[in-house]
Amino acid sequence: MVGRLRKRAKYDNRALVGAGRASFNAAAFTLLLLTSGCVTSTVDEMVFNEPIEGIGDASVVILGRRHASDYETEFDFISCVSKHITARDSSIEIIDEIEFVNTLYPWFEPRTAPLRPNDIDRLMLQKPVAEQIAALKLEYMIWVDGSTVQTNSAGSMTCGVGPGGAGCFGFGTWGNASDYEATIWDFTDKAEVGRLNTSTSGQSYMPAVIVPIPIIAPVQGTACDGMGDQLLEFLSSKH
Amino acid sequence: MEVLLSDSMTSDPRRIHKSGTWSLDYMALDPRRTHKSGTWSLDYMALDPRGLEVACGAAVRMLLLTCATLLAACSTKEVAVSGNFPAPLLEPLPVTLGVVYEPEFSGHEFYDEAKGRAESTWIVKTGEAQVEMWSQLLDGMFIQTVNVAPVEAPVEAEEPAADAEPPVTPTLVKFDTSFNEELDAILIPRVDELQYAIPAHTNVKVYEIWMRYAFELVRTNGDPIAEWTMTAYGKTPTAFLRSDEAAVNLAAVVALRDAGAHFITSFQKVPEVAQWLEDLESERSTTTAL
Repeated sequence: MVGRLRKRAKYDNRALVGAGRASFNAAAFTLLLLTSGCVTSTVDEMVFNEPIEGIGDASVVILGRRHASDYETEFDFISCVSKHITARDSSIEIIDEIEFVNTLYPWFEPRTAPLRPNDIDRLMLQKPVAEQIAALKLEYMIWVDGSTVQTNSAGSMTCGVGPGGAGCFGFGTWGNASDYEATIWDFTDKAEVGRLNTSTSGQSYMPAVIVPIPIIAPVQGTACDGMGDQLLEFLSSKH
Repeated sequence: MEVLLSDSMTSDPRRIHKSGTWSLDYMALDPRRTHKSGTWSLDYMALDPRGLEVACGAAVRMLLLTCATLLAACSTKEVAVSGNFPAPLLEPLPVTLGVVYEPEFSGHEFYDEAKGRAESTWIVKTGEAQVEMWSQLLDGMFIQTVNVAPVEAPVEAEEPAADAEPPVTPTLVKFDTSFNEELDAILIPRVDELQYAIPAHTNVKVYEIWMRYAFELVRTNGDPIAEWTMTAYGKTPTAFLRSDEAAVNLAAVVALRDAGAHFITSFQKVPEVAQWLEDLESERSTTTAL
Protein backbone atom coordinates (compact mmCIF):
# COMPACT_ATOMS: atom_id res chain seq x y z
CA MET A 1 0.00 0.00 0.00
CA VAL A 2 2.76 2.30 0.94
CA GLY A 3 4.59 1.29 -2.19
CA ARG A 4 1.56 1.99 -4.35
CA LEU A 5 1.03 5.29 -2.72
CA ARG A 6 4.66 6.16 -3.26
CA LYS A 7 4.39 5.07 -6.86
CA ARG A 8 1.27 7.09 -7.35
CA ALA A 9 2.92 10.02 -5.65
CA LYS A 10 5.83 9.61 -8.02
CA TYR A 11 3.51 9.56 -11.00
CA ASP A 12 1.71 12.56 -9.58
CA ASN A 13 4.99 14.38 -9.23
CA ARG A 14 5.89 13.54 -12.79
CA ALA A 15 2.48 14.70 -13.90
CA LEU A 16 3.00 17.85 -11.90
CA VAL A 17 6.42 18.43 -13.41
CA GLY A 18 5.03 17.67 -16.86
CA ALA A 19 2.05 19.92 -16.29
CA GLY A 20 4.38 22.59 -14.95
CA ARG A 21 6.59 22.39 -18.03
CA ALA A 22 3.57 22.37 -20.32
CA SER A 23 2.03 25.35 -18.60
CA PHE A 24 5.41 27.15 -18.66
CA ASN A 25 5.77 26.43 -22.37
CA ALA A 26 2.17 27.51 -22.98
CA ALA A 27 2.76 30.66 -20.98
CA ALA A 28 5.97 31.38 -22.87
CA PHE A 29 4.20 30.73 -26.20
CA THR A 30 1.26 32.92 -25.18
CA LEU A 31 3.68 35.63 -24.03
CA LEU A 32 5.51 35.35 -27.34
CA LEU A 33 2.22 35.64 -29.22
CA LEU A 34 1.15 38.53 -27.06
CA THR A 35 4.45 40.35 -27.37
CA SER A 36 4.63 39.92 -31.16
CA GLY A 37 2.62 42.25 -33.33
CA CYS A 38 0.97 41.14 -36.56
CA VAL A 39 2.96 41.28 -39.80
CA THR A 40 1.75 41.02 -43.39
CA SER A 41 4.28 39.84 -45.93
CA THR A 42 4.20 39.58 -49.72
CA VAL A 43 6.95 37.92 -51.74
CA ASP A 44 7.21 38.18 -55.54
CA GLU A 45 9.67 36.10 -57.47
CA MET A 46 10.87 36.18 -61.05
CA VAL A 47 13.65 33.75 -61.92
CA PHE A 48 15.05 33.31 -65.44
CA ASN A 49 17.77 30.73 -65.13
CA GLU A 50 17.73 28.77 -61.91
CA PRO A 51 20.68 26.40 -61.25
CA ILE A 52 19.35 22.82 -61.29
CA GLU A 53 22.08 21.22 -59.20
CA GLY A 54 22.61 24.10 -56.81
CA ILE A 55 25.77 26.16 -56.96
CA GLY A 56 28.24 23.38 -56.08
CA ASP A 57 31.51 24.62 -54.60
CA ALA A 58 31.11 28.14 -55.98
CA SER A 59 30.38 31.06 -53.69
CA VAL A 60 27.78 33.80 -53.49
CA VAL A 61 27.95 37.32 -52.20
CA ILE A 62 24.95 39.33 -51.02
CA LEU A 63 25.47 43.09 -51.14
CA GLY A 64 23.32 46.03 -50.10
CA ARG A 65 22.74 49.04 -52.36
CA ARG A 66 23.78 52.26 -50.64
CA HIS A 67 23.88 54.92 -53.34
CA ALA A 68 20.44 56.47 -52.73
CA SER A 69 20.45 59.80 -50.94
CA ASP A 70 17.65 59.20 -48.42
CA TYR A 71 18.08 55.58 -47.37
CA GLU A 72 20.52 52.72 -47.47
CA THR A 73 20.07 48.98 -47.22
CA GLU A 74 20.89 47.97 -43.67
CA PHE A 75 24.03 45.89 -43.07
CA ASP A 76 22.17 43.83 -40.47
CA PHE A 77 19.47 42.92 -43.01
CA ILE A 78 22.08 41.57 -45.42
CA SER A 79 23.70 39.68 -42.56
CA CYS A 80 20.30 38.27 -41.55
CA VAL A 81 19.55 36.99 -45.07
CA SER A 82 23.02 35.40 -45.32
CA LYS A 83 22.60 33.66 -41.95
CA HIS A 84 19.10 32.50 -42.91
CA ILE A 85 20.46 30.78 -46.03
CA THR A 86 23.55 29.20 -44.46
CA ALA A 87 21.54 27.98 -41.45
CA ARG A 88 19.30 25.95 -43.78
CA ASP A 89 21.94 24.80 -46.27
CA SER A 90 25.45 24.87 -44.90
CA SER A 91 26.90 23.78 -48.26
CA ILE A 92 26.21 27.25 -49.69
CA GLU A 93 29.21 29.49 -49.16
CA ILE A 94 28.21 33.10 -48.71
CA ILE A 95 31.02 35.64 -48.56
CA ASP A 96 30.65 38.20 -45.79
CA GLU A 97 29.56 41.54 -47.26
CA ILE A 98 31.99 43.80 -45.37
CA GLU A 99 34.90 41.44 -45.99
CA PHE A 100 34.09 41.37 -49.72
CA VAL A 101 33.75 45.15 -50.01
CA ASN A 102 37.04 45.68 -48.12
CA THR A 103 38.90 43.07 -50.17
CA LEU A 104 37.77 44.66 -53.43
CA TYR A 105 38.11 48.29 -52.28
CA PRO A 106 37.31 50.72 -53.93
CA TRP A 107 35.26 48.91 -56.60
CA PHE A 108 32.14 48.21 -54.52
CA GLU A 109 31.79 51.56 -52.75
CA PRO A 110 28.48 53.42 -53.29
CA ARG A 111 30.19 55.64 -55.89
CA THR A 112 31.87 52.86 -57.87
CA ALA A 113 29.67 49.77 -57.46
CA PRO A 114 28.41 48.27 -60.75
CA LEU A 115 24.75 49.12 -61.37
CA ARG A 116 24.15 46.79 -64.32
CA PRO A 117 25.51 43.33 -65.19
CA ASN A 118 27.30 44.87 -68.20
CA ASP A 119 29.42 46.92 -65.79
CA ILE A 120 31.12 43.69 -64.66
CA ASP A 121 33.17 43.69 -67.88
CA ARG A 122 34.54 47.13 -67.05
CA LEU A 123 35.37 45.91 -63.56
CA MET A 124 37.14 42.81 -64.81
CA LEU A 125 39.49 44.96 -66.90
CA GLN A 126 41.32 45.56 -63.62
CA LYS A 127 43.62 42.54 -63.49
CA PRO A 128 43.89 42.32 -59.67
CA VAL A 129 40.07 42.51 -59.40
CA ALA A 130 39.61 39.69 -61.93
CA GLU A 131 42.18 37.56 -60.09
CA GLN A 132 40.56 38.17 -56.73
CA ILE A 133 37.09 37.30 -58.00
CA ALA A 134 38.44 34.13 -59.63
CA ALA A 135 40.10 33.19 -56.31
CA LEU A 136 36.78 33.65 -54.51
CA LYS A 137 35.02 31.34 -57.06
CA LEU A 138 32.22 33.86 -57.21
CA GLU A 139 29.24 32.49 -59.13
CA TYR A 140 26.37 34.75 -58.09
CA MET A 141 26.24 38.33 -56.91
CA ILE A 142 22.98 39.28 -55.23
CA TRP A 143 22.16 42.97 -54.84
CA VAL A 144 19.55 43.86 -52.23
CA ASP A 145 17.98 47.30 -52.44
CA GLY A 146 15.48 48.65 -49.92
CA SER A 147 14.98 49.54 -46.29
CA THR A 148 12.64 49.35 -43.33
CA VAL A 149 10.92 52.58 -42.35
CA GLN A 150 8.49 53.74 -39.71
CA THR A 151 5.23 54.61 -41.43
CA ASN A 152 3.06 56.01 -38.62
CA SER A 153 3.02 56.54 -34.89
CA ALA A 154 0.38 57.53 -32.37
CA GLY A 155 -0.31 57.61 -28.65
CA SER A 156 1.51 59.11 -25.75
CA MET A 157 3.39 57.88 -22.74
CA THR A 158 4.54 59.65 -19.63
CA CYS A 159 7.43 58.39 -17.59
CA GLY A 160 8.54 59.72 -14.24
CA VAL A 161 11.40 59.19 -11.86
CA GLY A 162 11.03 59.90 -8.17
CA PRO A 163 12.84 59.08 -4.95
CA GLY A 164 10.68 55.98 -4.53
CA GLY A 165 11.20 54.60 -8.03
CA ALA A 166 10.27 55.08 -11.65
CA GLY A 167 7.33 54.21 -13.84
CA CYS A 168 5.47 54.92 -17.06
CA PHE A 169 1.83 55.24 -18.00
CA GLY A 170 0.26 55.49 -21.42
CA PHE A 171 -0.02 53.73 -24.76
CA GLY A 172 1.97 54.01 -27.95
CA THR A 173 1.65 52.41 -31.35
CA TRP A 174 3.70 52.64 -34.53
CA GLY A 175 3.82 50.97 -37.90
CA ASN A 176 6.82 49.71 -39.83
CA ALA A 177 7.12 48.77 -43.48
CA SER A 178 9.89 46.92 -45.27
CA ASP A 179 10.38 46.84 -49.00
CA TYR A 180 13.37 44.98 -50.39
CA GLU A 181 14.25 43.88 -53.88
CA ALA A 182 16.98 41.35 -54.60
CA THR A 183 18.55 41.17 -58.03
CA ILE A 184 20.57 38.06 -58.84
CA TRP A 185 23.49 38.39 -61.25
CA ASP A 186 25.20 35.41 -62.77
CA PHE A 187 28.82 36.45 -62.54
CA THR A 188 30.05 33.98 -65.15
CA ASP A 189 27.50 34.87 -67.81
CA LYS A 190 27.37 38.52 -66.70
CA ALA A 191 23.59 38.49 -66.83
CA GLU A 192 20.66 39.07 -64.53
CA VAL A 193 19.02 35.72 -63.75
CA GLY A 194 16.42 36.54 -61.15
CA ARG A 195 14.60 39.20 -59.22
CA LEU A 196 12.77 38.88 -55.89
CA ASN A 197 10.69 41.38 -54.00
CA THR A 198 9.58 41.25 -50.39
CA SER A 199 7.13 43.76 -48.94
CA THR A 200 6.25 43.52 -45.28
CA SER A 201 4.28 45.73 -42.95
CA GLY A 202 3.22 45.49 -39.34
CA GLN A 203 1.95 47.42 -36.37
CA SER A 204 3.71 47.46 -33.00
CA TYR A 205 2.14 48.44 -29.67
CA MET A 206 3.46 49.49 -26.31
CA PRO A 207 1.03 49.75 -23.41
CA ALA A 208 2.55 50.96 -20.17
CA VAL A 209 1.17 50.65 -16.65
CA ILE A 210 4.26 51.30 -14.52
CA VAL A 211 6.27 48.95 -16.78
CA PRO A 212 6.11 49.43 -20.58
CA ILE A 213 5.32 46.16 -22.40
CA PRO A 214 6.56 46.31 -26.00
CA ILE A 215 4.55 44.20 -28.45
CA ILE A 216 6.87 44.43 -31.41
CA ALA A 217 5.93 43.42 -34.96
CA PRO A 218 9.04 41.73 -36.44
CA VAL A 219 8.71 43.50 -39.79
CA GLN A 220 12.34 43.39 -40.89
CA GLY A 221 12.80 39.86 -39.53
CA THR A 222 9.82 38.61 -41.56
CA ALA A 223 11.17 40.31 -44.68
CA CYS A 224 14.54 38.66 -44.01
CA ASP A 225 12.91 35.22 -43.67
CA GLY A 226 10.83 35.74 -46.82
CA MET A 227 13.77 36.83 -48.91
CA GLY A 228 16.05 34.18 -47.40
CA ASP A 229 13.58 31.39 -48.23
CA GLN A 230 13.22 32.54 -51.84
CA LEU A 231 16.98 32.85 -52.33
CA LEU A 232 17.43 29.44 -50.75
CA GLU A 233 15.06 27.94 -53.32
CA PHE A 234 17.14 29.51 -56.04
CA LEU A 235 20.59 28.61 -54.73
CA SER A 236 20.09 25.28 -52.96
CA SER A 237 19.60 21.87 -54.54
CA LYS A 238 17.94 20.67 -51.30
CA HIS A 239 15.04 23.14 -51.34
CA MET B 1 33.71 73.01 -15.46
CA GLU B 2 33.43 74.64 -12.03
CA VAL B 3 30.36 73.89 -9.96
CA LEU B 4 29.22 75.47 -6.69
CA LEU B 5 26.46 73.66 -4.82
CA SER B 6 24.39 75.62 -2.33
CA ASP B 7 21.33 74.76 -0.22
CA SER B 8 18.48 76.93 0.98
CA MET B 9 16.49 74.23 2.73
CA THR B 10 13.82 75.07 5.29
CA SER B 11 13.07 72.37 7.83
CA ASP B 12 9.59 71.58 8.94
CA PRO B 13 9.26 71.74 12.75
CA ARG B 14 7.43 68.38 12.71
CA ARG B 15 10.40 66.81 10.83
CA ILE B 16 8.17 65.02 8.32
CA HIS B 17 7.87 67.64 5.63
CA LYS B 18 10.84 69.41 4.12
CA SER B 19 10.86 71.77 1.23
CA GLY B 20 13.23 74.25 -0.30
CA THR B 21 15.49 74.93 -3.24
CA TRP B 22 18.76 73.44 -4.27
CA SER B 23 20.72 75.75 -6.48
CA LEU B 24 23.66 74.98 -8.66
CA ASP B 25 25.91 77.79 -9.85
CA TYR B 26 27.97 76.70 -12.76
CA MET B 27 30.56 78.06 -15.06
CA ALA B 28 31.40 75.99 -18.07
CA LEU B 29 34.63 76.93 -19.77
CA ASP B 30 34.52 76.07 -23.40
CA PRO B 31 37.84 74.92 -24.83
CA ARG B 32 37.36 77.37 -27.72
CA ARG B 33 37.37 80.76 -25.98
CA THR B 34 33.69 80.88 -25.05
CA HIS B 35 32.39 80.45 -21.57
CA LYS B 36 28.94 80.16 -20.13
CA SER B 37 27.73 80.64 -16.61
CA GLY B 38 24.48 80.81 -14.70
CA THR B 39 22.37 79.13 -12.05
CA TRP B 40 20.14 76.10 -12.24
CA SER B 41 17.71 75.63 -9.41
CA LEU B 42 15.54 72.72 -8.37
CA ASP B 43 12.58 73.16 -6.05
CA TYR B 44 11.84 70.07 -4.07
CA MET B 45 9.44 68.80 -1.48
CA ALA B 46 10.08 65.54 0.27
CA LEU B 47 7.92 63.66 2.70
CA ASP B 48 10.22 61.69 4.90
CA PRO B 49 9.14 59.91 8.05
CA ARG B 50 12.70 58.87 8.74
CA GLY B 51 14.15 62.31 8.95
CA LEU B 52 16.37 64.70 7.17
CA GLU B 53 19.05 62.34 5.77
CA VAL B 54 16.72 60.40 3.45
CA ALA B 55 15.18 63.61 2.11
CA CYS B 56 18.62 65.04 1.45
CA GLY B 57 19.75 61.83 -0.26
CA ALA B 58 16.71 61.76 -2.51
CA ALA B 59 17.05 65.44 -3.33
CA VAL B 60 20.71 65.03 -4.19
CA ARG B 61 19.88 62.08 -6.47
CA MET B 62 17.20 64.12 -8.23
CA LEU B 63 19.54 67.05 -8.44
CA LEU B 64 22.29 64.99 -9.99
CA LEU B 65 19.83 63.48 -12.48
CA THR B 66 18.57 66.92 -13.45
CA CYS B 67 22.10 68.27 -13.73
CA ALA B 68 23.14 65.36 -15.93
CA THR B 69 20.17 66.06 -18.23
CA LEU B 70 20.90 69.78 -18.35
CA LEU B 71 24.61 69.29 -18.93
CA ALA B 72 23.92 66.80 -21.73
CA ALA B 73 21.80 69.38 -23.53
CA CYS B 74 24.60 71.92 -23.94
CA SER B 75 27.70 69.74 -23.98
CA THR B 76 30.56 69.61 -26.43
CA LYS B 77 30.56 66.54 -28.64
CA GLU B 78 34.01 65.55 -29.79
CA VAL B 79 34.76 62.89 -32.37
CA ALA B 80 38.27 61.72 -33.26
CA VAL B 81 37.52 59.88 -36.48
CA SER B 82 38.83 56.32 -36.63
CA GLY B 83 37.91 53.41 -38.85
CA ASN B 84 38.95 50.70 -41.23
CA PHE B 85 40.70 51.85 -44.41
CA PRO B 86 41.57 48.91 -46.65
CA ALA B 87 44.38 48.89 -49.20
CA PRO B 88 43.12 49.50 -52.75
CA LEU B 89 43.01 46.61 -55.21
CA LEU B 90 44.48 47.90 -58.48
CA GLU B 91 47.58 47.90 -60.65
CA PRO B 92 49.87 50.60 -59.21
CA LEU B 93 50.87 53.44 -61.51
CA PRO B 94 54.60 53.41 -62.37
CA VAL B 95 55.22 56.65 -60.52
CA THR B 96 57.34 57.42 -57.48
CA LEU B 97 55.30 60.00 -55.66
CA GLY B 98 56.23 62.22 -52.77
CA VAL B 99 53.36 63.18 -50.47
CA VAL B 100 53.33 66.24 -48.26
CA TYR B 101 50.94 66.15 -45.32
CA GLU B 102 50.91 69.74 -44.14
CA PRO B 103 50.23 70.39 -40.42
CA GLU B 104 46.78 71.81 -41.32
CA PHE B 105 45.98 68.50 -43.02
CA SER B 106 47.46 66.03 -40.54
CA GLY B 107 45.88 67.94 -37.67
CA HIS B 108 42.67 68.80 -39.46
CA GLU B 109 39.64 69.33 -37.28
CA PHE B 110 36.23 70.80 -37.83
CA TYR B 111 34.67 72.99 -35.17
CA ASP B 112 31.04 74.07 -35.05
CA GLU B 113 29.87 76.10 -32.09
CA ALA B 114 26.37 75.52 -30.71
CA LYS B 115 23.87 78.15 -31.81
CA GLY B 116 21.58 77.69 -28.79
CA ARG B 117 21.15 75.85 -25.50
CA ALA B 118 19.41 72.92 -27.17
CA GLU B 119 22.33 72.33 -29.53
CA SER B 120 25.78 70.88 -28.93
CA THR B 121 29.14 72.21 -29.95
CA TRP B 122 30.83 69.78 -32.31
CA ILE B 123 34.54 69.10 -32.76
CA VAL B 124 35.28 66.53 -35.47
CA LYS B 125 38.98 65.63 -35.65
CA THR B 126 39.73 64.02 -39.00
CA GLY B 127 43.50 64.68 -39.33
CA GLU B 128 44.79 61.35 -38.06
CA ALA B 129 42.24 59.36 -40.08
CA GLN B 130 43.00 61.48 -43.18
CA VAL B 131 46.72 60.64 -43.02
CA GLU B 132 45.97 56.95 -42.34
CA MET B 133 43.53 56.67 -45.25
CA TRP B 134 45.60 58.63 -47.79
CA SER B 135 48.84 56.83 -46.87
CA GLN B 136 47.15 53.45 -47.35
CA LEU B 137 45.50 54.56 -50.59
CA LEU B 138 48.54 56.18 -52.21
CA ASP B 139 50.81 53.28 -51.20
CA GLY B 140 48.57 50.97 -53.20
CA MET B 141 47.95 53.36 -56.07
CA PHE B 142 51.57 54.23 -56.93
CA ILE B 143 54.56 51.97 -57.28
CA GLN B 144 56.34 53.88 -54.53
CA THR B 145 55.43 56.72 -52.24
CA VAL B 146 57.65 58.79 -49.98
CA ASN B 147 56.47 61.00 -47.17
CA VAL B 148 58.03 64.39 -47.68
CA ALA B 149 58.27 66.63 -44.66
CA PRO B 150 56.65 70.02 -45.05
CA VAL B 151 58.87 72.98 -44.24
CA GLU B 152 58.23 76.64 -43.64
CA ALA B 153 57.98 78.66 -46.83
CA PRO B 154 61.23 80.54 -47.45
CA VAL B 155 61.23 84.26 -46.80
CA GLU B 156 60.77 86.19 -50.01
CA ALA B 157 63.97 87.48 -51.56
CA GLU B 158 64.92 91.13 -51.36
CA GLU B 159 63.56 93.49 -53.95
CA PRO B 160 65.66 93.10 -57.14
CA ALA B 161 67.47 96.05 -58.49
CA ALA B 162 65.58 98.17 -61.00
CA ASP B 163 67.80 97.12 -63.90
CA ALA B 164 67.82 93.41 -62.98
CA GLU B 165 65.77 90.89 -64.98
CA PRO B 166 62.59 89.72 -63.24
CA PRO B 167 62.53 86.02 -62.17
CA VAL B 168 60.80 83.75 -64.69
CA THR B 169 58.67 81.77 -62.20
CA PRO B 170 58.64 82.73 -58.54
CA THR B 171 58.61 79.32 -56.87
CA LEU B 172 57.92 78.85 -53.17
CA VAL B 173 59.06 75.40 -52.20
CA LYS B 174 57.20 74.29 -49.07
CA PHE B 175 58.69 70.85 -48.62
CA ASP B 176 61.90 69.00 -48.02
CA THR B 177 63.77 68.85 -51.34
CA SER B 178 66.32 66.22 -50.33
CA PHE B 179 64.31 63.50 -52.15
CA ASN B 180 64.37 65.34 -55.49
CA GLU B 181 66.39 62.73 -57.35
CA GLU B 182 64.10 59.87 -56.38
CA LEU B 183 60.69 61.40 -57.00
CA ASP B 184 58.63 61.94 -60.15
CA ALA B 185 56.28 64.43 -58.51
CA ILE B 186 54.93 65.59 -55.20
CA LEU B 187 51.28 65.55 -54.17
CA ILE B 188 49.95 67.99 -51.58
CA PRO B 189 46.41 67.15 -50.41
CA ARG B 190 44.41 69.74 -48.48
CA VAL B 191 40.95 69.72 -46.90
CA ASP B 192 39.31 72.76 -48.41
CA GLU B 193 35.96 72.49 -46.66
CA LEU B 194 34.00 70.13 -44.44
CA GLN B 195 30.28 70.24 -43.74
CA TYR B 196 28.19 67.98 -41.57
CA ALA B 197 24.48 67.43 -40.96
CA ILE B 198 22.82 65.55 -38.15
CA PRO B 199 19.11 64.67 -37.74
CA ALA B 200 18.69 67.51 -35.20
CA HIS B 201 19.58 69.99 -37.98
CA THR B 202 17.70 68.49 -40.91
CA ASN B 203 14.88 66.32 -39.48
CA VAL B 204 16.11 63.59 -41.83
CA LYS B 205 17.22 60.41 -40.12
CA VAL B 206 20.65 60.49 -41.72
CA TYR B 207 24.03 61.74 -40.50
CA GLU B 208 26.08 63.24 -43.32
CA ILE B 209 29.64 64.44 -43.88
CA TRP B 210 30.68 66.29 -47.01
CA MET B 211 34.26 67.26 -47.77
CA ARG B 212 36.00 69.15 -50.53
CA TYR B 213 39.66 68.44 -51.12
CA ALA B 214 42.14 70.59 -53.01
CA PHE B 215 45.08 68.77 -54.56
CA GLU B 216 48.31 70.23 -55.80
CA LEU B 217 50.65 68.09 -57.90
CA VAL B 218 54.05 69.72 -58.32
CA ARG B 219 57.45 68.86 -59.73
CA THR B 220 60.28 68.28 -57.31
CA ASN B 221 61.50 71.85 -57.85
CA GLY B 222 58.07 73.17 -56.89
CA ASP B 223 56.80 73.92 -60.42
CA PRO B 224 53.07 73.18 -60.65
CA ILE B 225 51.80 70.26 -62.75
CA ALA B 226 48.12 70.30 -61.82
CA GLU B 227 45.68 71.72 -59.31
CA TRP B 228 42.20 70.35 -58.90
CA THR B 229 39.43 69.88 -56.37
CA MET B 230 37.42 66.79 -55.49
CA THR B 231 34.42 66.14 -53.27
CA ALA B 232 33.61 63.23 -51.00
CA TYR B 233 30.40 62.30 -49.25
CA GLY B 234 29.48 59.89 -46.51
CA LYS B 235 26.22 59.18 -44.76
CA THR B 236 24.88 56.78 -42.19
CA PRO B 237 21.28 56.33 -41.07
CA THR B 238 20.15 56.62 -37.47
CA ALA B 239 20.21 53.36 -35.55
CA PHE B 240 18.83 52.20 -32.24
CA LEU B 241 21.26 52.87 -29.37
CA ARG B 242 23.86 54.49 -31.65
CA SER B 243 25.14 57.77 -30.24
CA ASP B 244 25.49 60.96 -32.30
CA GLU B 245 29.27 60.71 -32.00
CA ALA B 246 29.38 57.12 -33.27
CA ALA B 247 27.10 58.00 -36.18
CA VAL B 248 29.18 61.06 -37.18
CA ASN B 249 32.34 58.93 -36.96
CA LEU B 250 30.78 56.31 -39.22
CA ALA B 251 29.65 58.97 -41.71
CA ALA B 252 33.18 60.44 -41.72
CA VAL B 253 34.72 57.00 -42.36
CA VAL B 254 32.29 56.46 -45.27
CA ALA B 255 33.24 59.92 -46.60
CA LEU B 256 36.96 59.13 -46.37
CA ARG B 257 36.45 55.82 -48.17
CA ASP B 258 34.45 57.69 -50.80
CA ALA B 259 37.30 60.20 -51.13
CA GLY B 260 39.69 57.32 -51.82
CA ALA B 261 37.33 55.79 -54.39
CA HIS B 262 36.80 59.15 -56.09
CA PHE B 263 40.54 59.89 -56.20
CA ILE B 264 41.37 56.52 -57.75
CA THR B 265 38.72 56.85 -60.43
CA SER B 266 39.37 60.52 -61.24
CA PHE B 267 43.16 61.00 -60.90
CA GLN B 268 44.05 60.02 -64.44
CA LYS B 269 41.07 61.95 -65.84
CA VAL B 270 42.44 65.33 -64.71
CA PRO B 271 43.68 66.69 -68.08
CA GLU B 272 47.00 68.09 -66.77
CA VAL B 273 47.72 64.88 -64.87
CA ALA B 274 46.89 62.75 -67.92
CA GLN B 275 49.27 64.90 -70.00
CA TRP B 276 52.01 64.65 -67.37
CA LEU B 277 51.66 60.84 -67.15
CA GLU B 278 51.86 60.64 -70.94
CA ASP B 279 54.98 62.83 -71.00
CA LEU B 280 56.54 60.78 -68.21
CA GLU B 281 55.91 57.55 -70.11
CA SER B 282 57.34 58.88 -73.39
CA GLU B 283 60.35 60.32 -71.53
CA ARG B 284 61.03 56.89 -70.00
CA SER B 285 60.63 55.13 -73.37
CA THR B 286 63.14 57.52 -74.91
CA THR B 287 65.60 56.96 -72.05
CA THR B 288 65.20 53.17 -72.38
CA ALA B 289 65.67 53.33 -76.15
CA LEU B 290 68.88 55.29 -75.70
